[in-house]
Amino acid sequence: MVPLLHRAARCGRGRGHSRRRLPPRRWIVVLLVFLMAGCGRMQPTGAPQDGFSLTMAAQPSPPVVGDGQLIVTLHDPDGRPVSDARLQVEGNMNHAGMKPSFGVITAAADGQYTVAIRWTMGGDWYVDIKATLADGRVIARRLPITVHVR
Amino acid sequence: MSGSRPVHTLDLLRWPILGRFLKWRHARTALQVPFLLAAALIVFDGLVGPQLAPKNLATVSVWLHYRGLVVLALLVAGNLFCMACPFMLPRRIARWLRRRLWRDGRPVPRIVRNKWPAVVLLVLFFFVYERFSLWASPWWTAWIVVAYFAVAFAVDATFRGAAFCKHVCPVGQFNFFGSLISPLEIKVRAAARCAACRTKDCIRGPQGCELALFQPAKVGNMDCTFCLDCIHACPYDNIGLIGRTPTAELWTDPFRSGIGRFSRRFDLTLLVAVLIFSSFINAFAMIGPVYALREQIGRWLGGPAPTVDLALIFGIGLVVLPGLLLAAAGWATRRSLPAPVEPLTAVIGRFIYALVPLGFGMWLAHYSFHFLTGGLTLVPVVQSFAADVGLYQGAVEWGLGPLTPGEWLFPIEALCLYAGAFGSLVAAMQIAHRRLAGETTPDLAWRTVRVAAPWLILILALLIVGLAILVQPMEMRGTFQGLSG
Repeated sequence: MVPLLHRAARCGRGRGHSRRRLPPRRWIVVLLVFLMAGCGRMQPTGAPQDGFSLTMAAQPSPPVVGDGQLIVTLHDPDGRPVSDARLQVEGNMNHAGMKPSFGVITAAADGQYTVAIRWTMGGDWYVDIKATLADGRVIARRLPITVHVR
Repeated sequence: MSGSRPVHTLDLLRWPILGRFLKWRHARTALQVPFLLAAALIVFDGLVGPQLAPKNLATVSVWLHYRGLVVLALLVAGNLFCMACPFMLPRRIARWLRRRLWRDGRPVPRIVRNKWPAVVLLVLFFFVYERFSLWASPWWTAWIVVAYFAVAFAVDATFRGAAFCKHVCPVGQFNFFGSLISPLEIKVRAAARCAACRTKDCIRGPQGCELALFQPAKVGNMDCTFCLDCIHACPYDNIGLIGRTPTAELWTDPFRSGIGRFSRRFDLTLLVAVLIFSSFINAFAMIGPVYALREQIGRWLGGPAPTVDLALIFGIGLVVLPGLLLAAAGWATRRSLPAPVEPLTAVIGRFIYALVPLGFGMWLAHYSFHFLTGGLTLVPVVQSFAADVGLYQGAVEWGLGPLTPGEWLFPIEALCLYAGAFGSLVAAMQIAHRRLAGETTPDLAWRTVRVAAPWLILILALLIVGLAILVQPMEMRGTFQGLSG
């Protein structure tokens, strides 16, 4: 059962939990705490504590089904643009059954990254953006966006 | 049909391997255990896994695969998912508790010995499902499964018989509804053998039917969970899993053991009406026009009111419109019936069953769409789960998704709906034909058409509405509002 804790621990990542292994006896307590507390509730989409500003704008706006673009803007806590981050962009629909759309970075300058992405269906999407900074730090956000049908 | 010699050509219990398995005393348990394990994984991942519906076992397996496979099983076989229902496993403990603590428990109170609790729960579920976008929340999906186990346990620990299955379980009612069109039925092989039986183990014995379906008088699949108890109870091996003409049980209205006559059961009429019309509402809720309508209602109300606007749509789509349409069709049919004419509710209660194939066709089209669009997404989700628990080291194949090319989807959906409409047209004519049985007028064929005509028109109108919904691109919105609102 201990390996299952990896799955459980994963949901706490954004909240500063560690993935440290717990003594085997305590797994059941941890499991119960997770179950009862509903650790897996929808992650808040508000700004995390890292101080970075990561925003996203769609082109066209509002986005429509088909090929589209996202303009991702990244600034450090002092408001300086960050242009040398390695970006991973993944769009997922809000409901089960649709495979993810992965964004392709086509340009980056002055803290702005142009990402080509294909919206495969109209509706609510979550865009997960992971920016790996030059010093190895990772800035991650999950941003909601609604895609319209043409 | 006389004597005790079986005359049925298709009886799955006579098949070499499958028949032997199903007759095995532990067959149901063997089917339930994998589902119980799956339910445990669903609950676990729903509560502690990634809270993104396409990446969580709970949402993918419940809203995509379970629903898709349920309707397919009902279409090609019967109520297989009640047969393998994992919620019934803890019930054994509940039964034991009931016998120990409450002297075999209480009978179900007369006031709820019907389908009313299930009707209320179904409507409530459909509403909450749309209002709070349950399909988008692994966490809520997991809690629904937990709640199901808890309620099934509590109900069956308190009341005698299969109270939960017969009167409460919304999923079971959906399965009963769908199994009305199924090609398989559990029934006696030879009536003469039952006539000679003195022990009636299939109803009285320790393994007698808990849903009060007495095999010799059982007709059709309503309320039958395919639990196999009667098969094991019958000392004469006189019960089979027998092939039949799909939808044929809708054509007649005999007295059915444990149920009575369909046309005299207003609660059943309502249950069937809810399941027919909610198939359209449920599909309508996933396309763009519903959002325009909700925004318009919001403007009328002076601002967004997601609960009120959805309640209005449900009220109109599930109460007002069905009520008016059924009353109008029933009234028109009643006018063309020969004396003695039944009350309006009985006419509606008889002819509404003609709409069952169409309603099921709409559910089939809708759930098939989801299943065919994302059937293979289960593979990466399972891979991801296995990777997280240290059982898989390979690459997670997120590129897997549809089972069929996208351009096949609408033709398949339309085929489901056309097949349902065809079944409904046949059923309406058959019901009218049987209602006029004994009439000897030369224009009987014409009179049959006249009696069925309001229902034929209603079926064609609903077919057009269904096609208009299915032809729209899917557009699931409102989640952000739903979860936070």
